[in-house]
Amino acid sequence: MVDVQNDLQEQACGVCLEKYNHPTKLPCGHVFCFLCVKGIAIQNKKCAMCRTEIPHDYLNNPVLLDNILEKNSKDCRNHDYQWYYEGRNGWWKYDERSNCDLEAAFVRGEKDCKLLLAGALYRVDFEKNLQVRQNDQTKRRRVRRDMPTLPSKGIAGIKTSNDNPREEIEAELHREYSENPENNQEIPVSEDSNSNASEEDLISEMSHSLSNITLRTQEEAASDLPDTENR
Amino acid sequence: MAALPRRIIKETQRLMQEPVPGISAVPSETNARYFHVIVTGPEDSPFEGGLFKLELFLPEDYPMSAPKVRFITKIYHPNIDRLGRICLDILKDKWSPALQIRTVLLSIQALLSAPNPDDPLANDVAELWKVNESEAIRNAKEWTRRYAMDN
Repeated sequence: MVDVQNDLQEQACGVCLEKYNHPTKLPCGHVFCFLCVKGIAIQNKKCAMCRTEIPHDYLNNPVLLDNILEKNSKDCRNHDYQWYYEGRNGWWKYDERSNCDLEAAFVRGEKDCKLLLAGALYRVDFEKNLQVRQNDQTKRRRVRRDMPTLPSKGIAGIKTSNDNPREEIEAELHREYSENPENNQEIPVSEDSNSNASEEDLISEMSHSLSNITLRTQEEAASDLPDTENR
Repeated sequence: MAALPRRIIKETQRLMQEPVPGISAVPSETNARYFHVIVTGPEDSPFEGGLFKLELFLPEDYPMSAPKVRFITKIYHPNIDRLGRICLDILKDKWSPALQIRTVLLSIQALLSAPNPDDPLANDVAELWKVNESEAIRNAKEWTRRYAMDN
């Protein structure tokens, strides 16, 4: 086991080509980052190395190894702020790398940041505090920038509390808002009010604003997509 | 810019710093997911001496789905059709996110060395390859000379 851990520190994940972030071991023995496993378990359903099928319920009970990145990585420095996305009854921390990307883009004053999460491309809109899936604009979650000490459900779908993680992870996998495109109001949240809001304020605010999320127009959506098929 | 996933940035850098012999892949200036590719015809194949242009595009959910690759240079090969589309399992159902741009291009180069007329895409070429291999190879050499040299 010690050797496995030492090896992992030297190696890169075969999917993202970076150092392992929350290394997760598949039944066939191959190890990838948790978010990479999430991507291949949902999309390819096979191990990226040996093509052994991943059990359909694997993500309900993933085998997580010690997180190397958290312990001794310098490529992802600690920030004063942590980015969160909304889950059922609480907030998930973004994984360390995505948090770095988000914080860097936010500090640079950019209006959004694109992230590849579990194999899908997302756009985090800093003005609306929303995460939107690029190829399916109805998949959206609220995001917030807050103190790292904010009580959270865990990191990127890995639960940190003692509760039974099974149902939670499964529920999170496909839980994203599908909004009614007929509602056309902006979300009334500014960065300040968001980070200072108490939990209760936020919940009432959310239940109000979630019914009022603006859908981007088709044209806007289309202009985001790279020109693929016409090349 | 976090607009381009780190993995694509990493692969691009590595392609530039440690290029694969016989293969060049350069991202377009206007679209970092679109690569201009040149593959040299392998030695001891009918494509030897040719420089074959291809285009490679990384779709939005790459590496969860395979790159889209197409020959631009005309080529006489049983697994490549007249539109340049390639019949190669790793570009379809055998794709794995652990494969990379470089491994894909190496596989395509290997396909030039080992045509497989039993799994054809260009039926007329595959047919001739099976019934009269020497004539097929002569055609492939002729096409290589005509379309893949000195252009």
